[in-house]
Amino acid sequence: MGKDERFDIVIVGAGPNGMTTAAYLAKCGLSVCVLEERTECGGACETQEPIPGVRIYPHAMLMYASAAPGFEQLELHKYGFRMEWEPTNPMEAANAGLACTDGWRAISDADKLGWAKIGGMLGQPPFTRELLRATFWCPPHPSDVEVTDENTPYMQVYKKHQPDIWTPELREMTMFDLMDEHLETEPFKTGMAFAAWASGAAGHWEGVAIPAALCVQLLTLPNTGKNSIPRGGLHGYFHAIHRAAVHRGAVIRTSCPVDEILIEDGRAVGVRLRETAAAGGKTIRANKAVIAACDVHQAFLKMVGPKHLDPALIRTIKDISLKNQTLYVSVFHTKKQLTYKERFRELGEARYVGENRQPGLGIYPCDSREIYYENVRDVDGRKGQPTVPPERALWFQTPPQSFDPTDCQASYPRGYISNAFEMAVTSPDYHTEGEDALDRHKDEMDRFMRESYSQMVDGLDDDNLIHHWSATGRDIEFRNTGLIGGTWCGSRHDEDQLWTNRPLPELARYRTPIEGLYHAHQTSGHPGGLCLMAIPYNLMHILIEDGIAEPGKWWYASPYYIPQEGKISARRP
Amino acid sequence: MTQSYDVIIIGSGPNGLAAGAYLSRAGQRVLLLEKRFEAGGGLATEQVTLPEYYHNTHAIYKMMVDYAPVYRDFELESRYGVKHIQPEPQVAMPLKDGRCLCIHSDIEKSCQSIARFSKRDAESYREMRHDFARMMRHILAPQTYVPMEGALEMAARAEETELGRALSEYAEKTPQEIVFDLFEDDHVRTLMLYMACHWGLEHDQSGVSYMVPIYLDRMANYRLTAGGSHRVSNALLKCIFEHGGQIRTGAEIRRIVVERGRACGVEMQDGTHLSAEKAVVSTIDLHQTFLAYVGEENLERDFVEGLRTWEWEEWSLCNLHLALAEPPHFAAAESEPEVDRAFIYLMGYESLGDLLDHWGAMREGRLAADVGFNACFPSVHDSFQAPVGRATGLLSQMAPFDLADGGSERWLAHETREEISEQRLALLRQYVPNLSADNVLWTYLTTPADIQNKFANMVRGSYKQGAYQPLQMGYLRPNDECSHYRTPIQGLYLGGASVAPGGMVLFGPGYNCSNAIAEDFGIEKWWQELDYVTAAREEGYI
Repeated sequence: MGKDERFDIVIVGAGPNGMTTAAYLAKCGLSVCVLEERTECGGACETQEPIPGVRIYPHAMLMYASAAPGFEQLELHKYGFRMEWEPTNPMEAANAGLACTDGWRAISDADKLGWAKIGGMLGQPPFTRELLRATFWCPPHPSDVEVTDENTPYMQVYKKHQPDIWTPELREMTMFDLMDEHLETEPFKTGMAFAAWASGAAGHWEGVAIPAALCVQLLTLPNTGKNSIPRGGLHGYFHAIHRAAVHRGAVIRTSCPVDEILIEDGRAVGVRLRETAAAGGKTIRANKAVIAACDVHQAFLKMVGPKHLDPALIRTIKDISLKNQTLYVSVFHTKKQLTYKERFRELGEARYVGENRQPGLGIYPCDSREIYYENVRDVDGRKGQPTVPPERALWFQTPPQSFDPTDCQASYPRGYISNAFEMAVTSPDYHTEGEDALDRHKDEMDRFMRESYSQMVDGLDDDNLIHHWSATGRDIEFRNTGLIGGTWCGSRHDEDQLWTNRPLPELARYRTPIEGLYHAHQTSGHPGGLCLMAIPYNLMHILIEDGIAEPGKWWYASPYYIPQEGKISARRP
Repeated sequence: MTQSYDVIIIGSGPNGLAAGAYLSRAGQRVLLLEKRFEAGGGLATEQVTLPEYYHNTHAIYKMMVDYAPVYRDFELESRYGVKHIQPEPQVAMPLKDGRCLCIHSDIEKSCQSIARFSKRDAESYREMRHDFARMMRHILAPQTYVPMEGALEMAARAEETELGRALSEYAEKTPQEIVFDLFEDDHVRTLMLYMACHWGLEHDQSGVSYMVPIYLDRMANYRLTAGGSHRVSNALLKCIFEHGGQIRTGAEIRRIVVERGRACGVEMQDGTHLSAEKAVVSTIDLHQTFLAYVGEENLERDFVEGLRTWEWEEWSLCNLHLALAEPPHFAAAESEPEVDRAFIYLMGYESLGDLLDHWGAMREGRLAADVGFNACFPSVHDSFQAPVGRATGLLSQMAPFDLADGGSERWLAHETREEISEQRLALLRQYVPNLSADNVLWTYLTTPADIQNKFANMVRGSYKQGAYQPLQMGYLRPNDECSHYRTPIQGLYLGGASVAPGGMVLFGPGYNCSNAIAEDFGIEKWWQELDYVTAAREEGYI
């Protein structure tokens, strides 16, 4: 196997971004090789089996990508992608409510209308998909184009379809500002702000009101609950992308860590594999481009290395904050079903979901934004172990996965598996007690998780609990080197690291200072994480501009995309 | 993309992958259907304890790397980087008194170790290894990769050669008789009997002891896949992809579509219809294949009755996977340093009585606290499998599916699991004192009940899809109508462990099934018969 090989494109990393990029480029007729360090592809779209016969999804769980052009452009349905696309609007449900310490608080009609309006559902016709695509599925504008209210994609969409959302301040607002203007009840605002925080853009950050709100809209509209989990989970979704890539001839190599991106005369010409790679320590050359679909630190600081980069750029890359909060994840295996406490029973059976009838999707406690701020202070401010008492710790729970009838390997016949239960905690690298603090405090933290969840449910006592599976940020990072600090969304989605600033203005269009080297990873490009197939779609515009990709008729560009002067436009006539 | 294929293969374990790879490279449009979320079946490598600790949760000791055709035909090593490690000593049985019995791939080294227990046994072992290696080379390995002959033809053929007659004599004995005839020392007998019965032979059953020479020859030929067993399945999957084959995972079938006595496709749970123009190959167990998916209405009554008498395996495995802070250091290494680097360990059987007691208890469904197990520390041989300086471990114990007290349900009870794990670790520490509680960072237990929960084809933990007993082996596996990979349903083929030569990642069923399909449909074979098979044929051994 010692002989060197040659492809048009070499992609480092077979997570969702690397593999989607491979699928796009292979569909353009290019020869593509994808290199993955781990034994399995999929990155954060992973499935594990902590108890034989029961799958859990330790990282990506929710389908945020519904609006992605990739579904039709890559024809994923032909490669086994299956999901119930039934559009259900949770706001229409009569019993919609947010969980507060004293029980469910109903969502008001004003909440429903306001939230639907922000999400583009009240337009004639509704413009939700256009809005979501404008926000996430559009490459950042070229650096010589000044970003204005007039040319910001989501601003254009609102101006056209829902002018009363559009205000000159919209781009400066926080999500709370936006919600105060359009929504009514405090629990609803608190819950949505927390969901945004956990999705990567916090409810209280200035300048990201719309991206933050739309992160949550990606989940709540038009799909929710059970409907937003593809068959086979996010790994099943990934399999379809993987098959789309291999069907078009992409070559995928697992257990092949890359040690170096080879640069000759300022141009990326291939990669060198580590000696222990399954393919041996050989060189794989790229005729057209090397694409780093791994995290921005590894890509630049390790694989490219300082001798090819300007020292000032290295400093700024080191400064990119890759850590948001981290999610501490738990799954409980119990002998008997978990049941709602008396005060949460009023909404009845509907709150028990899935084939094994477990408590379902929820965010708790949503009483007021004070609780939100207390949690934010612990995690982003004090950066230590939680000081909020367990009854005020904010958590959320993802929709049912286990025992879904289409989830055919959930063959474990006994006991009850809870839905994943998650809490935002301090990122390990920022933790004041050291980066292994959470690991040292794991037992204590597990207890804290159980106490918090026990505010709402009964059944987490020692007699009933068989196993408490949990993962700290470091567990997550060790498993997936690209999930720095265990953060799910790559890096902060604050104003400084969003859109044309992500991860740095000079890297925002997925190009790098090295000719022929591009990046495509949640830590390094707009719009970040959540397995959206957005970075590869956006990157396609750039690769077309540079004459590398020449897609067929199936391709369409973002209507809000601005071509770089002097380049080939990605827009097709 | 069409919903029509030449060949649809149900199951993507080693045999499904092998059949898929042979047939897709032969130009057939192949689709594999896998119920689980990953291909590979028992070729699984998973991070089930801590991140960066890779555990081979099912198949680990590869016994046919030097014989199985897939490695050669697909150039798995040179083209796909699949490497195998053959650690030495191959097998070690440390004793509490500090001695250790070691078997190496090198015969003389093994004899030196055996001679410390019995000089006569060392002589006997030397002769046995030479004899068994010849039987393996000329008869047993070739038989693995060709369709089985009927019992009468096979017996007649065996009579014609000296080697054949010698092998027939073994087949009539029980494993225990063979081992007792060969060896006198209690410890040597213990080790040999364990290894002879390791994969499901009953020590006191005659009729299938032609497998004893296989297992005692393979005992010095086991290999570990570098990077974990899953790399083998990954490589085969790549072969399939390279030749245009496809796989669908998370794909559950509702039925095998039979029209006018012919299998013409598969209907999926979601109603999708996939048609197979040439063949449907089932690599899963007999009951699912025929009773659940073909349906009794399409089968003769006698055939169905026969299926119902199919015996699952007498016992399965209870495996404890370990994430360790440091590699093991055996007490016996004080006198024999090489013990620390052995591949397979046998521990907890200080005498033959201990082993026979364990088997006796299994038959009664008892779960004794202090029974022995085999063990392996893969990261000692392959640094990829654990973080630097740390180690992975596996304690693998023969165990019944049904427990007398509580049935199989008890395997799933939290208290039982904790107790089993603690007991096994306590026994381990008697041989490996450094693996204290502090050094065991995480454990992951899979019991016979877990195996069934994980793999629907391993009913009652039957990791070979059915017992190895005289009425279910050779030409009779699974029955005389199906052992040549064809079935009473035209177009439906069997290619999994339920058909000869059986399980254990031999790739025999998948390979032989591909040959049968190629012959039935006039598909040109791009592969050549194995040299040693041709030689055996020419010399009249098969």
